[in-house]
Amino acid sequence: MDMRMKKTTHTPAAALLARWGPAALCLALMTGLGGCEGLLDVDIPGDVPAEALDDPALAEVLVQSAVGDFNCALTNYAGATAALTDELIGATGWIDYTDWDTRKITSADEDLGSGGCTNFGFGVYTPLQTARVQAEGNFARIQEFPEGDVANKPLALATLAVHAGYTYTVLGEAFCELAFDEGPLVTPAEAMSQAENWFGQTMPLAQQAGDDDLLNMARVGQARVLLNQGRATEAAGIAAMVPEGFVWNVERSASTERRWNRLARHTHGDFYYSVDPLFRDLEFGGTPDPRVVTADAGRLGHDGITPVILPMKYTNVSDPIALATWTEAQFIIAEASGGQEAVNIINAMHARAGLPAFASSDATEIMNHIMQERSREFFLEGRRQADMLRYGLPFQSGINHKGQPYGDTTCFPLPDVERINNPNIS
Amino acid sequence: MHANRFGRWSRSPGIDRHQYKGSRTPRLSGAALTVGAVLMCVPLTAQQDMIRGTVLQQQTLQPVAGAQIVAEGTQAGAITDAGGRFTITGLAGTQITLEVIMVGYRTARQTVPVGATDVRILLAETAVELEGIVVTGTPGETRARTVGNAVAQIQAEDKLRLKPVRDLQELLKGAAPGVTVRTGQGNVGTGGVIRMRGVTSLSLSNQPLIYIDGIRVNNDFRSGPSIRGGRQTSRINDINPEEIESIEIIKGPAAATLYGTEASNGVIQIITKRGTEGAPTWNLTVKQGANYFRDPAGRLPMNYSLGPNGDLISQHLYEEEVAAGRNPLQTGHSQGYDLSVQGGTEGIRYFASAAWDDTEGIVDYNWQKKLSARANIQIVPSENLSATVNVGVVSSETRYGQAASGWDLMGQFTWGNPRSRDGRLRGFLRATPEAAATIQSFSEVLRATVGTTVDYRPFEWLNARMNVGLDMTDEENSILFPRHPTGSAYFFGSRSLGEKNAERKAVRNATVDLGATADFDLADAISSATSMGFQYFTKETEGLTGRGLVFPAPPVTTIGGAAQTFSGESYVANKTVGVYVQERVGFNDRLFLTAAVRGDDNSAFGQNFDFVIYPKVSATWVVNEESFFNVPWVNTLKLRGAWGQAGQQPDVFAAIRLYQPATGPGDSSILTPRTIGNPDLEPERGEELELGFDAALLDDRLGIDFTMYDQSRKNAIIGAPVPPSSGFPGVRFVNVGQLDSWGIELGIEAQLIQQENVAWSLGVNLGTNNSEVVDLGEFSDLGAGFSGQIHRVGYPVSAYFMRRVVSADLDGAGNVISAMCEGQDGGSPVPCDGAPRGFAGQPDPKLTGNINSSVSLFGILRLSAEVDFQTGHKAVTGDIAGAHHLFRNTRAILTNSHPILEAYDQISGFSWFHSGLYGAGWAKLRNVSATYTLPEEMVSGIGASRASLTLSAQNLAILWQQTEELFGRRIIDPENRLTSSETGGYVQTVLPHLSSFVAAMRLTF
Repeated sequence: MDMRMKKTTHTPAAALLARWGPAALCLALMTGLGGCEGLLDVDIPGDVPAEALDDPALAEVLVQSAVGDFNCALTNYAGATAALTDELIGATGWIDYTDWDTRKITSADEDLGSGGCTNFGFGVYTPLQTARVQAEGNFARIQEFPEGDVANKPLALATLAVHAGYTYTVLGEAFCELAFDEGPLVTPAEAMSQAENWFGQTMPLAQQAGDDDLLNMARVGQARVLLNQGRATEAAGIAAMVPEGFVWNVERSASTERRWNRLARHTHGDFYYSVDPLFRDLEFGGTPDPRVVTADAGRLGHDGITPVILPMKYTNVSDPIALATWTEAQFIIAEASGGQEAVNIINAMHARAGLPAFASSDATEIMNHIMQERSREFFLEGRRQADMLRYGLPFQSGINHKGQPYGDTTCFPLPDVERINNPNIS
Repeated sequence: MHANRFGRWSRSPGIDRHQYKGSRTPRLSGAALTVGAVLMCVPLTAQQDMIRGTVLQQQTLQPVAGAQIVAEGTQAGAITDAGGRFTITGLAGTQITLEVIMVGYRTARQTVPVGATDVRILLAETAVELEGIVVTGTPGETRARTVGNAVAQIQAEDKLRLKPVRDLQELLKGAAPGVTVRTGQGNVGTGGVIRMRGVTSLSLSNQPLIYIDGIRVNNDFRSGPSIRGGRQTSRINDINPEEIESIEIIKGPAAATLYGTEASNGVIQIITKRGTEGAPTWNLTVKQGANYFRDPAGRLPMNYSLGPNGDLISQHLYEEEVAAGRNPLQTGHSQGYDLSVQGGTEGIRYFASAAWDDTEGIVDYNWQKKLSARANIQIVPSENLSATVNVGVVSSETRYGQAASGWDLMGQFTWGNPRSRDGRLRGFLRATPEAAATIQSFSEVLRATVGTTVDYRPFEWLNARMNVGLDMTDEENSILFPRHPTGSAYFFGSRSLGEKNAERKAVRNATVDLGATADFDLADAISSATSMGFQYFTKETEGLTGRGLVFPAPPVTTIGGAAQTFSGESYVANKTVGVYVQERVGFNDRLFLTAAVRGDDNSAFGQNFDFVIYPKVSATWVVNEESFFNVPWVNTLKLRGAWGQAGQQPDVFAAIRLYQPATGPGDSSILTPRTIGNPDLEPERGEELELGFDAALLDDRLGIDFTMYDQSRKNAIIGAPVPPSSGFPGVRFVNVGQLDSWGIELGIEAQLIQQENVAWSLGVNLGTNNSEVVDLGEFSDLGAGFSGQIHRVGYPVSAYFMRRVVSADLDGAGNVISAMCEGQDGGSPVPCDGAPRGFAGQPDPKLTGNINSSVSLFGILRLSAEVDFQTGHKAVTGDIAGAHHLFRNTRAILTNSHPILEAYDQISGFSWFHSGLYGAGWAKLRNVSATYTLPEEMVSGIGASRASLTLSAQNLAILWQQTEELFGRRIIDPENRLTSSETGGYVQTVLPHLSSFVAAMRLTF
């Protein structure tokens, strides 16, 4: 879009000279050159002023913009937490990656706070907040557009609402405390309430639009939120409504770096990361687990120390990342139900994976196995940090494979960039 | 016709332009000048009634052109030509006394035999020059005595004879008090940042405006490809120093008011060489030199690791590579050739030059080749009209060392690990030197600066001037990882399939500058000069970027040949329109009062802001010319004071809330937030009071230039980080801050010995700078870059705030116990857990200086030495902190031998770079040189009239280094920095500043 920004002169304190000085000189000096009008006009061909977005013709762009920002944010979040948790270990000396690998993420960390979608490190907080505001803001914009001006308005609104729900969910799971819209500090629980609200709004809109995918996305999301809130029975009830085989992926593409699956790039492409020993050669009952397949790259990483073991889940930058699945819904039911129902669900998953059956009647053993199943099922999907926090699993500590001491990051602190600059916090 | 031969602009008939400027008591009549001028054209054959000779500057031994020579007691005289030569005929008797008068020099008298043809007259410079012309931004000529602020004047040619450097920034180092050039490294093709009186803007650029012959030009210091450490090419280094006549620098708002918005960081005026009337004079300069890495074995580190049995193993990579016949470093050859001609007639004067420079760095793939040409033509069609056309063209190609982050040579040495010694890496970090050398980072630049200056003097009292010009810079930058034949080169991961990032950038700076000055005498002994003008500046930057991934075969290196391609386009424009009015009143030609006001509007101001006005006042008083003044040892004393304001515009789109295009689902086009904007944004306003004096003492042998300044940047623009919960990334520019800075500047020039055969001078430049963040509005802190730098009220700008371990103990297992850190504001130590991030120093030196000295012997030999120093600041070395904490290849970290280092390593809350803070003061032997002026009989054999040979060396030694090492790791060069950030005090694996030898032969024909 080519927008011509024209400066305007207002009435003034800076007054006489402001008004008459240039005019007089222009008259005197620029006569014959067309005067001074337009001397300060500049083109902005590469950007769009905010006010131009209030246009129903842009509704589809606004929807896709929110989805695009969310996809990018979730990819970064999955990458960052894979490094933070025990999914991946660092195989490079890049400074940006070392603090993540050693759990030394403080509130001052720039990747955590200010890093964007394509920053060298994994930006987390800013992309997620941008995605949230894009979803909520564009929801509000489109809601204001006249009905007839937006094709299938419920579909547009449902798409935005479900993505708003997921951004609140991820933010609530990942951060120790939060703020929204330059407001005061809020707890993760409040983020979950917002997520619940957005998923709740999505469902009738999706039904109105006749879009089952959005409906099931909202159901999985809602069940996830309810489980986080300790409302397991309600979670299982909604999860049970998700049809078998449902999968909603965060789409990835080789087209631009912003669309890359950066987990694939930073392992297969760059050798920045290696699969943590905890996730190598996984099997069950002697059968290799196809959900976490690894391959030895036969080389050291760029740190000259770490052997590179590649995750085969993502081999290409266009490999999608799962966001909401029937599988997750089933594990939510299993966790909520426990006992034999949980074992049955586990075994259904094993059957899909070609693994031998699991058998137990011990509640703790079953729960432990659900945790292990989730770690494998959702490997590198950005779920590990939240699960470790929810289940109270120990993060790595002591000294890492390079002799570097671990820090103590578990949930993310509210970044300084928010705390210092948000007028309603400091 | 001859009556005005030497000056179209003479105030009264018979007094030429130089004379008017140069002499308070004109000695020559127009008739005498005419005689002299005519005599200059007399064939140079020896006659009994004539004298022939040369006038040279006593210190530099350079010819003095335009000097007036009078044979006392006669009407005979002459003016020296461009080669300093003169001939006087029609003399009688056996000997005669010649008096030589020249602006800026003490009048010399010498008795010589009539008939002599080899007279040499040495002129000593006056310690303070009041009659010289300075550039003030107003039309007409402004004498130094009328100017109330400090103006640093650098005679480029004189400097180059002592210090034959190839980059303009190297020439400016130490050249004037208060002017700091912070080059970061020795990577040929990179440059640095220029500071005038320290950092004066919290969030905007601190770079001065640069003008070439009145045309505002590209002053970008973050240009070129984004190599290790970011973009580090400075466009000021495009300019060939050999083309420059002089450089004038004004350093702050008090002096720069008339330059308006954008000028609060000071202004550098570059005046290129001009032709003078007379026969063509050809100058040929040939330079040959060598660049080298001083003491690599001593300065590159010994790396350590733990072996399989936990034993400590070590490796000195450099020594091992050399022993194996693989020395990755070289002595780079530098060569430069410059040919120029100047001359002219009454109606046309010309200067033209062409130069070729080819410089290699300390790796064979780091080089720069530069072709530059300039032509300046002045046409004088009538007595009241003059038009000058200046054209400068530069074409250069650079291949950088340190081509890519992660694969830079210094990183491979610094962070290598002996554990990989026996493998493909041979102990290097990520790639062997020969592998790193395959990455290619190029920059090709074509730059043209074209300007026209028309001076029109319709009436005796009115000077009108028009400057119109364009500076065009076209850059092509690229970084290429060539495809490896198999596509799986060990060192490069997926990049071995081939990757190229390329950029084409066009920057256009346009200048329209119209103005007039009216000179009146208001009454007897009261003069008035009224100036007004209109200026219009635009800067447009257009960029095209391309990226290609995966080439099919090694020969393919074009982005179009890649399997995946990405592209981008950008366009940014900024426009300023300004007007000014200035009134200067002079009393008895000794006391001058000046008042001015400048108004500006700019396309980047917020829509709710209209127009900005900057005022200034200044006064100067030449006290020693007052009748009451009678201090015999004070020859000249000029007091001066100035107060003024100038501005700095906001970032181009800082006022507007914008969304930018991106690629979204299904590869559709989407819009994502870019800048939050601020419609109320105004320029920040620099305000400065400057007081000082220029004094010549002790029979003009001691010159002192003293200035104290107190500067305040009000309404300062802060790039306040936007809380990400707003949905926008980046910063919001707001006018809330105030930054104060103050200091003194002292320049001393002492002629210690002034004898016929020996002249010894000593020069000292000192500048202090202190700063304090006074106000940040609602913000308590503001991040100021990587490595713990923060703007905080009450502290220096961009100060370091870190946890600092002061003591620690280790238990038997090597774990830290009882670590204590500095308390708040230097208070009692507190346990490091939860210790505050206390003030730990500032990145900019509090004191900078230069000491230089030269000795001229027998009029043929000149020896010189120059020392630069900086102190009072700190830096953070990522080289060493990274080695300890991230790459863990140091003895100290592997042997738990330093409890304090272990505390930094083990205690939570320390970012890894905290242990890398160090006192960064240094003093360097910047330059030593010897210049020999060849005897005329020797050079006349090749048809030359003059020749000199200079042997010089740069950066031969670090004389003082405040911190030698940190926990056993040596700091290679305390002057090293990453210069891609203006306020950053961080350095990481850059090539140290080059040491070099240069021989320069200069011939005049």
